[in-house]
Amino acid sequence: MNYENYTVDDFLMDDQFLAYCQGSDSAAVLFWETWQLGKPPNIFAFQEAERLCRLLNGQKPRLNESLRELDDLIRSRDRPVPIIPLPVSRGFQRWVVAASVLLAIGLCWAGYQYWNNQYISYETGYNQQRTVSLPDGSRVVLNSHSVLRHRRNGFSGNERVVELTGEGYFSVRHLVPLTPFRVVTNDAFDVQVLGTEFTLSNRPTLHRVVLNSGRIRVSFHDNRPAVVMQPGQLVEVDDSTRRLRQRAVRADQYNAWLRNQFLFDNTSLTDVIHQIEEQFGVTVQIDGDKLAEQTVTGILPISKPETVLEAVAALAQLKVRKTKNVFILSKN
Amino acid sequence: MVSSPIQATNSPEKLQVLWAGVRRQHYQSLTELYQQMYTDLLNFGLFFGHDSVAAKDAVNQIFLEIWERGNSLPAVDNVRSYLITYLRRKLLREFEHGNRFVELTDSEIMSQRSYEEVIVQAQQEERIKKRLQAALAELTPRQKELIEMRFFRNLSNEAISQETGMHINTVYNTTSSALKTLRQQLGQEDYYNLLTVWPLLFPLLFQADSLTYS
Repeated sequence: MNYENYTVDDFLMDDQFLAYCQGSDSAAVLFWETWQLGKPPNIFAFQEAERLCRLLNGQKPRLNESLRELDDLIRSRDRPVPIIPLPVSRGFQRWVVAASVLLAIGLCWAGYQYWNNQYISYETGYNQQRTVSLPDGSRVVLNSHSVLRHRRNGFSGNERVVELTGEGYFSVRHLVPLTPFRVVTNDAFDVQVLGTEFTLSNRPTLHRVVLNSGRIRVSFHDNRPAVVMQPGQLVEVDDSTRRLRQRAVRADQYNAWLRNQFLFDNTSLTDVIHQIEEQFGVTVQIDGDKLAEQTVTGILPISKPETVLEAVAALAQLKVRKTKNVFILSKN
Repeated sequence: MVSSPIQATNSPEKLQVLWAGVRRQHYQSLTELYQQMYTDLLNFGLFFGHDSVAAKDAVNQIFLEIWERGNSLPAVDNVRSYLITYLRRKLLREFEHGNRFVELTDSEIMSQRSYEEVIVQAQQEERIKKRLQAALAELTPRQKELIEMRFFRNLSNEAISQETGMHINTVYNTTSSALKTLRQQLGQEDYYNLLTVWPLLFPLLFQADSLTYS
């Protein structure tokens, strides 16, 4: 049989052709598909026969194709439901995951650092005192109108650092291994401590350290050489001349405020007034020449500014009067 | 290519054997049963008024279900009518679900739909529908019957001869003459088509030339 001479009718009357056309016999399908690849001259007749065949069978899907669909259907049911991967390539996915993990870690780290670097502040108002326990077990008694602050991680490194504005009595705990405790001020000096008790005053006109026990090193913010202090020693920086003064004192005189006292021992009236101003947040003026150089000696309880000033005036044989918000000390 | 492998008639006994195989989870029985019943079931779907793709999907769904049910399938006396009822329920459920089908009784559908209507309905283009309708109208009832048996029911010439009691040569000649009539009507369509698309066929024509001369 020479299929290359077949007309449309010949194809349509051939049972094998019909089997191909309906897809009902796989051998026939294979045969006619291969035959078409040989580019037969009567390919148009073949195609026309196929068209008519499909037209007359009601355009039913080919059996072999439908059976393949059924086969796929059954196979897909046999297997567990496949997990559909994200429509992203694996490599890209990995990078995205890696990047987001890194980003998350980075953000956590940055947040932790930020949190750690935040300051914790302790503040006292005028005529207030407060005892602060630091994370390392050291204690600081803050005098009135003072601020002590440290970073949250200020005690975790190999140095303990706090900042002081105002006045505080430090009782620093000695740590093993040796961990320096440093008090930083915004003015003349810093104090480095090994384990000791001292009073540090960082007032607008008074920059002073008095050491009660132990050993401390005072390092200055200018080029002055550091001073290592012995117990009972006082170091202060004169506010106007910026000169350094050192002398031996009775150290507990300088922390009298701890005991709620003003202790004046030949203290100049100017210093007395500064202390009162810092304690109560009042303004005191001296009316009269050379009065400021007068000294005062005595122990006064810290009560109200009026009472303290009355006492100071009595000690200095002066009069006190009040105009609006200002106290004035004068001869008469 | 020797004699026809197309199974003309699905003998009930053969279907019984295949059904038993399916119940034993014999996969080849399932595919053979599918091959035996495919055209029959699809035609039934078409007579039902469904399009061939919907019918095919329903048939595949049925075969998936009977395969999954396996030995819990009932033993059936008449496999063919069991499957046809199954398909009918499936198609009806589908259309109830789609809510666009007024349920008709079996007989109504069968009596109302003829082979001609079904195959005309199955065509996509309105032009072809008209031409097919006209072409079929020119055939004698016998010619129509033979065309249906051969192309719609997928019967071999031999099977048609057996079923109609006609001599195989008569079957052949009657079908051939019917095809000529059909092609005269439907072929003209192609002639017009060729006229409109002929510039696109140039490369093909040249290729054909070179083949003949080489």
